Amino acid sequence: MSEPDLQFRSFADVVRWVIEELGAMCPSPERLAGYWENPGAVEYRDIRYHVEEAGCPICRAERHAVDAGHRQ
Amino acid sequence: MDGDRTRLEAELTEAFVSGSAELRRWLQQAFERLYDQADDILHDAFTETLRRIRSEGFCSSAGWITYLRVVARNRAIDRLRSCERRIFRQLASHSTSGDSSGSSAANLGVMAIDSEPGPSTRVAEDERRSRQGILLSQVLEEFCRWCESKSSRLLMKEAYERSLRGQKPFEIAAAMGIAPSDVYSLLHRARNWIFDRIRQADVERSVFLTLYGHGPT
Ligand SMILES: [Zn+2]
Repeated sequence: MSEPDLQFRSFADVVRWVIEELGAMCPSPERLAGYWENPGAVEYRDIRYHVEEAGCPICRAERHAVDAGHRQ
Repeated sequence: MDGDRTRLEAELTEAFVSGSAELRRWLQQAFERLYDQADDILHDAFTETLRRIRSEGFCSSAGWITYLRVVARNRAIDRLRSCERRIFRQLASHSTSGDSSGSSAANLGVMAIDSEPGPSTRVAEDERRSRQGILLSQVLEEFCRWCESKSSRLLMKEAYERSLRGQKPFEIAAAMGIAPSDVYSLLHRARNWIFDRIRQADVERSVFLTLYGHGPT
């Protein structure tokens, strides 16, 4: 399989890549765990945006991994 | 003592063998760009953990799978960050060659992510890192930790992330249910913090150009 490529059309694309793929705006692991416990809490609204609306794949994958661990 | 380490090694190995499919799935979902490198990264995480057991009798209180996930995440981000550094270096060379319009990234061409670098490349990269200071992704991460240390800053974190992801201030105001003037104020404070931080640190000049359209003064 070929190497993955990165192509950017603008500087804004580079910034978005940094936050979408490098997890630069991800919450701390402790706050993320708190969010999964209580997703409606007002103190986690920044995480609600990050996870549910922006759809951060790193945080979402963490959730699936933790759920899979609990099922075992 | 040695018996303890042998037992820990056996526990780690068993956890890695039985959990590797689940770990691979997680890694490929979290870092899609590194899909083909997932096994390499997991192997690195495993050997790094094994070394810690052998050298210091390390035992993970959170469980081996959880610990391997933390190490693998860090190694995945390391790989992406070495790519980030190359991108910004290329941006810097474009901007110093007379193009500071901010629209020339189309000319960046294709950046391929290297597979795992060899030992000498890694040493050179470590040396460059210590000389060149921190990256944009690290500045943003520090900004998040700073916001999270005080609940009154969380609105700023959300507003700034929305802005970085391309939302306009009026869209941010509508989505967050606050006045546009408050959004401008939050974004102003966030940018000031970032600006101060990257002035203090030895950051690639192109990070300034990317965020502010001009270099440090
Ligand atoms: Zn995230």
